[in-house]
Amino acid sequence: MRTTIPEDPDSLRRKVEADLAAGEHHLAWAEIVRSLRGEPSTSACTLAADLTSRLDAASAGLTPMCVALLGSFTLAPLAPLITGHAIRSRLALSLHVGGFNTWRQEAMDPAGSLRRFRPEVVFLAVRAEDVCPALAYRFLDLSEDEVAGQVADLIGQVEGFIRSMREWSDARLVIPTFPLPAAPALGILDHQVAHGQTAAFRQANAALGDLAKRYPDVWLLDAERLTRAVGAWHFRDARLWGIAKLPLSGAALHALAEEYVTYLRAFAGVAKKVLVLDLDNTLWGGVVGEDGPDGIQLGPDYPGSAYVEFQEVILGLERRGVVLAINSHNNEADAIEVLERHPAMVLRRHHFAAVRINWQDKVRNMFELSEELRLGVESFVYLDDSQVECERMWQALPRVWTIHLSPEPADRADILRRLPLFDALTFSAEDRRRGELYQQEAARKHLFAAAQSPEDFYRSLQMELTIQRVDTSTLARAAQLSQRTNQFNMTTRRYSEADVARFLESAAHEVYCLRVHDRFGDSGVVGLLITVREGIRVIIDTFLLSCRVLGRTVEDAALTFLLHRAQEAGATEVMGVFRPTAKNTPAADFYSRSGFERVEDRGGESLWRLPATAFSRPFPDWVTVHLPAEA
Amino acid sequence: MEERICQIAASVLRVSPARLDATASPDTIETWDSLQHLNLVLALEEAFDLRFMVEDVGRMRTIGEIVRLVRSRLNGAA
Repeated sequence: MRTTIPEDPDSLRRKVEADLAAGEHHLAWAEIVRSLRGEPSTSACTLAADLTSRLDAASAGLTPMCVALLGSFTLAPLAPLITGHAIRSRLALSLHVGGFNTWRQEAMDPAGSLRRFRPEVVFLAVRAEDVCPALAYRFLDLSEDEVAGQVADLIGQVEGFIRSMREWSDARLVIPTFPLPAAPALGILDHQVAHGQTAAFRQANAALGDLAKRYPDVWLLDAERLTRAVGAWHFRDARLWGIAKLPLSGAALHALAEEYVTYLRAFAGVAKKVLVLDLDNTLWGGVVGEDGPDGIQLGPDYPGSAYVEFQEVILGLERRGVVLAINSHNNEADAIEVLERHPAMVLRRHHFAAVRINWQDKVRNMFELSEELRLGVESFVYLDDSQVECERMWQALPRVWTIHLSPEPADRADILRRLPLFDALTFSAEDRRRGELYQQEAARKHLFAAAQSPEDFYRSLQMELTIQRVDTSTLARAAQLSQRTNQFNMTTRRYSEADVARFLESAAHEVYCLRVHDRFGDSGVVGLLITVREGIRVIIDTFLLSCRVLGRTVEDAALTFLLHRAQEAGATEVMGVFRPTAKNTPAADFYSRSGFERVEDRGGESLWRLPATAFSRPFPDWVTVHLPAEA
Repeated sequence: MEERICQIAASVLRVSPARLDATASPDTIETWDSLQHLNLVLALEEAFDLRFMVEDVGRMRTIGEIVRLVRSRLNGAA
């Protein structure tokens, strides 16, 4: 049951208007997002979408995106839901809603409003019933050959759409798989025969997968899974089709809108990264400070079993690269006792990258966790069973995605499984190792505390920097870095794997990845450099480093490498580009302290110049640099 | 219940609840077009866990009629 709006629309409007009048767009955003907590209703999303249109994206620190929705049925009711769900993730959407069944025409029309809108992302919402009715309604009339022909025609239509779009747009295209029929033509026999209706749809979906791989920046949305998750008979609504040619139920509309926003988060690089957990009545039943480590509920019988299963889901997230943290009111010793020694615990102390177990204000704990992890609070998801703690967090830190856990412990594992907040469109070896990487970082911090001077610390780390040209084995990680790195990122240009592949093919571009190794271990691939040669000058298109390797002069060594390359290539100047964002202040003074001269400001970016006379500076002597092998 | 219906309609129609008395209709509220009528149906069904019949939707010509309809559906009337 979705939550209704907690207060009346007039009161929310007044608060938002007052904040806007005072120029406080951040506060206005916080008010809107607070009205959407939990599972927001259609009316809450609609009101939020309306109020969002009054926000200035830049002042509120939001990411603007131009998104188009095209399809074969009535799409308009999706719009306020997409906008409302998106604003919770700090995405300020401009939405183009396509006309009724005009998806093909809009892609082709050179004078149409879609072309003028210049979308960055296009979602295609088509049903088999609309684009291939014979396959959906008349399956048993078709011979095997005719079925194959229908599937080919269906794929051809989608391919035609992609090609039309690619004539004039680089927008990311998201195309849906088709739900398998819930009442297939041959009933219980259907899935057991090679030429049943189910098999035909499976073939169509497989062909769509191949199609998406053949064109740059085309993504598949698994509408088949979405339909299955909601339930095939709950996904459709024949009455709404009768009223307004809307084939989807209210529940399906929300599910689809949230799925779209999951893709938008991934495209914008703002998927959540950290799961922060309370302990008592969250990871185990009961309160360890009162019940003692032996008295908490955690084990093979309910409710202990529910908590064990919940921990298994959390462990699964850790394996996926989600960072785990604890924010709990407890005596640290009691909690650590359970974490390290309770036999039924699935999660152990070492799974958590940072912990704040104390009697301090949990909001202050959250800030400290953010600082220790070097990740902004807007990347945090917080789970707590206490309504009071959740209210506090919603008021004080609306940028943290706070979830009040259901009172029934048995429900929580599935609720967590279904959360799409951490979903991203890349998965690399670094993701798998993220937990281990945080443990290494803790060891480095101890060393830093003991060092006499920064240089002393750098030397004791025994750093090795390996610079390699990006190739197929590092392509995914390179793209992921460009999509996720926000702090030490000069230009914040987001690239897909297809984009990076294009740079590799280009003679004017050079693409390098940086790997850092020290006495504590391998940090993995943590930096990306992309340069473009333009005549006598080399332009630094992308220069970014994961925040995990900042503060150790790795960036200086990386820049030195680029300057040496420029010298070898005979360039007379290197140009750095810097685009300030809400998050990259750590990078703001890099070019100036590296001796570059600011020469121009153009379109929100500053241009910096270093002449050839400064190219031959040495590498810092505490870093061993391994240069790329000559191609 | 009436107040809740007004709040929901006010959010969907983007007007103040004060304008939505029993006689408010698409003739008096400029934003109440066929698209918003559909959104209103969706929002009400979700909020009250109801399913209207297609013919009900045509009968929802004023806020007053909507209130009567929701009340009768909640009471299990056909």
